[in-house]
Amino acid sequence: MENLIYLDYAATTPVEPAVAEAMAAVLMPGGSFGNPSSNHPLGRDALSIVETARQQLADLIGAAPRDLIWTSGATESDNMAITGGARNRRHLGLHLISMPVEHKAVTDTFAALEKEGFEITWLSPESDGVLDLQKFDDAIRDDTQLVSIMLVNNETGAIQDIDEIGRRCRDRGILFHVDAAQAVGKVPIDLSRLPVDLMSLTAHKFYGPKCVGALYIADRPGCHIDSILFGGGHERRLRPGTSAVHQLLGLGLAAEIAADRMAGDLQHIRGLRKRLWDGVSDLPGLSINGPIEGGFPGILNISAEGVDGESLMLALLPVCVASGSACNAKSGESSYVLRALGLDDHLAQSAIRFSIGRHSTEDDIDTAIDRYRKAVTSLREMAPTELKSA
Amino acid sequence: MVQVSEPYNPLTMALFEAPTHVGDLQHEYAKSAFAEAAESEAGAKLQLAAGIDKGTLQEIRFRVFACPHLIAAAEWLCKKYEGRPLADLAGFRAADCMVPLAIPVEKTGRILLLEDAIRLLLEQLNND
Repeated sequence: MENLIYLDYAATTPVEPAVAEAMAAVLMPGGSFGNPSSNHPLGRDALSIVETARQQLADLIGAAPRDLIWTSGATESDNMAITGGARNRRHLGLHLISMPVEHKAVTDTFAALEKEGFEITWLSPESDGVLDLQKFDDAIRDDTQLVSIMLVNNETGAIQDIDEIGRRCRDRGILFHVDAAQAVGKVPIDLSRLPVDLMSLTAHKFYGPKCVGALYIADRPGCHIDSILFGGGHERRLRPGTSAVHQLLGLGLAAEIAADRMAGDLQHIRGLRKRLWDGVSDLPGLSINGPIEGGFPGILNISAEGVDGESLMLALLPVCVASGSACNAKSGESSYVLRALGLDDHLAQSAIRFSIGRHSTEDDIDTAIDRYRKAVTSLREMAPTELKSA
Repeated sequence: MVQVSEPYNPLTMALFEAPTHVGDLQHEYAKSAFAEAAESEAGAKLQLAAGIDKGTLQEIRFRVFACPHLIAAAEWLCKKYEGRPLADLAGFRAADCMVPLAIPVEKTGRILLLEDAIRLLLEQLNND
């Protein structure tokens, strides 16, 4: 493990040491390990931690603390927002809109709603991964009740114009959900200004612990979701269950650190992404999947003609990355996100997603460049003659 | 701690990282043949070339566009059969390499490309 170079920050991030230490202290005897619902000093201490975390997260994203519901992460938040929102408005209409490049937590939730009688319009992005707003306008119907569009795509880094999409939704009284799992703590978000009704997020993408996240629900008329979980009055009766105090402390602290470091982190990863692309882009037959400029700089997704992605990923070791290949993903198919961008199976299979983070270094990037160049070259030399044209 | 198995065992890693039988035949032989097998769905493609002299497989080479397991299996095949009688090659079964290389069962179809290519090679060599 010592020599591994981690360039998979879009999958997850390491917990900041200060965050981990504070979390551990809460868990143990002598810490504030009480149940936040308990009416004694330890319970009140725990409740204070939970509410401090809510304030810290609210400050990070420009929300009011009361508008945040704790969840186990973005997947649960997506399920709550989309299912709860669609069911709440079922009497008004059955039409919903999303994109095929969304995370499975979104697409699978819509697929489940389809079985309940809802009708989904899937809007494909342009080749750079970004949604054409004219397509969006054309898809809206009188019975459209909910739209879900992610902020930063987890595979390509493409950023959607949620400001404009949100305005269009608000003008028509449509509920607008944003999966911001890849964005919160990494890019500036100001929900006091953005026309977003529901937003999903998770702590482990911004150097907090896994299995804790939140759903933002705007405090405005018509913005309601039905509960999909039952069992108590916690979290406005929408997410019953005892709060995980140490997890929430970690989320809150990570949010505070993210707010402090965001500008520096963005500048750092932007420079490293440029260094990485500059170091490999002269190889023939390479293409960036997603926006070349203007996307989230922490993600660089590259396809290479004539190269198998699983073999490329193995040859890249000790550099740890993500691949668009079927065998690696164990899904039986190449990346559905990249195929939605118009890539054929070969190019989608060859894709490698480098995701850069706070702790990445220039040495990490230089090693990745060296390994990638050697791997692509040797795998192409190994390929059957007609595939070697690249 | 529960041990989670590595996707590639040490033999597969060694064969994948340093294959010595990639490319075209290096010499001319009394008989030679070339065969290709491809998996249309996932796009894996395998080419085998063999040179025969006095009934012996003097040289086997491969080219491949595929996952690490098929690359390792092709190298394993070449190492095993080079220098042996041609007739031995007819006895090759994909299962022969799946155990030592710990190839997952879901990749059986891809490894069968080796059997397909060998069948085509033998047809050519035995028909000459």
